[in-house]
Amino acid sequence: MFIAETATLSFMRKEQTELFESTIVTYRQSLARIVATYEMRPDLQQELHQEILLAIWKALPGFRGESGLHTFVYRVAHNQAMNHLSRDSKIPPHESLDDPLESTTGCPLLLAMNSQKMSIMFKAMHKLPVIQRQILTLALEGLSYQEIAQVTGLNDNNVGVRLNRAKKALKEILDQNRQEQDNVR
Amino acid sequence: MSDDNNWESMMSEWQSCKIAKVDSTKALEDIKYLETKTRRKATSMKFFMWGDIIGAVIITLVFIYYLLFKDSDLFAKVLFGGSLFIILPMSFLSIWYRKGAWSATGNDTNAYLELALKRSISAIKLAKATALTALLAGIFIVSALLFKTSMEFHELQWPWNRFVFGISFETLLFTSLFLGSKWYEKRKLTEKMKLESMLKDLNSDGLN
Repeated sequence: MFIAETATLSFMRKEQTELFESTIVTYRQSLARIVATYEMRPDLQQELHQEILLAIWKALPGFRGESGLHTFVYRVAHNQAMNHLSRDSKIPPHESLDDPLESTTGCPLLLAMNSQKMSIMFKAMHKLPVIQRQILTLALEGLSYQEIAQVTGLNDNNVGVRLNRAKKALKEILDQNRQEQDNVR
Repeated sequence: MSDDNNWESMMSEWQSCKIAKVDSTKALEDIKYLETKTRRKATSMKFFMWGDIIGAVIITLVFIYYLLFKDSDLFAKVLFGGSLFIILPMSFLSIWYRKGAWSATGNDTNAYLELALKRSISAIKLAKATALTALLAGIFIVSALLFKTSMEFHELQWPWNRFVFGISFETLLFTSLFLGSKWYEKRKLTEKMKLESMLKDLNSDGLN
């Protein structure tokens, strides 16, 4: 009985490891984008990245395939990121959208962001409320309304309304930044 | 952004933005290290919980022993009885709180935030109970020691003796416990406020 249980556990562990490795290979860029969306400070980015990986590792045995793996991974990652934000007592300093993105230069896990446009985009995302940021990120990752609803626990219609508002808010921030840049020139 | 083409182009730019430099082997190594660390943390939490239980049992037994077999030692009876009065509810609270350890990141955000909020509220209650216990236990034990000191005042070798040590040690211990609990409570209150705000935002109609 004990040997059978040990063998089953070892098999499950191997399966978990394989699933985890393939998940990391498939979603590593998406996870990095989620980290950069929620956290700008390099040391805390590394911390959040590890927290997310650990949460995925722990949650994978509970994945029953009721939803897609990508929905499951995003759900775990976003929840962990929210947990990180709620625990963080420090308030990040206010930065202009034109300042270089600190995260991509100092974090050992993330490469320097070579596109200025994307750097501005990440900074603009940080100015949005957390829930809008979450919905926008999920939509940008290509999730459907239904999948976003599964991740957030909202209904499909509400996701649509919120996504439109988030897009509008992001556009306003980006337009404002563009205007400020034009004024400087 | 209302323009669909604009949105499509932003999506494609977003998805092609490659910023991660971790490989899966390194990630797995990191995870195994983190998992070991987490397991150690969980073991130490269990150790503290069992420490609470064993401590409570020992003090109960010592109290019963003094109550039944040491008729003359009223001071010890009061000291152990009083400690028991504080330690028993504290042990119960600490077991109740630690049993609530959870890993629910697979839930949807709404369920996850609700659970996180409940957990914060439990942590605040535990912090408040710990602070109150530290205050009451500190006052009680230090008063008992002061009383005992006054009883044996003439026999003591001042300034270095077991009562000076006892009073200083207990004062320091309970003050640290009180201040630590207050700091933890403050941290958890901030966390609770943030969670409430996120939950409120999520449960609003999205039009505000």
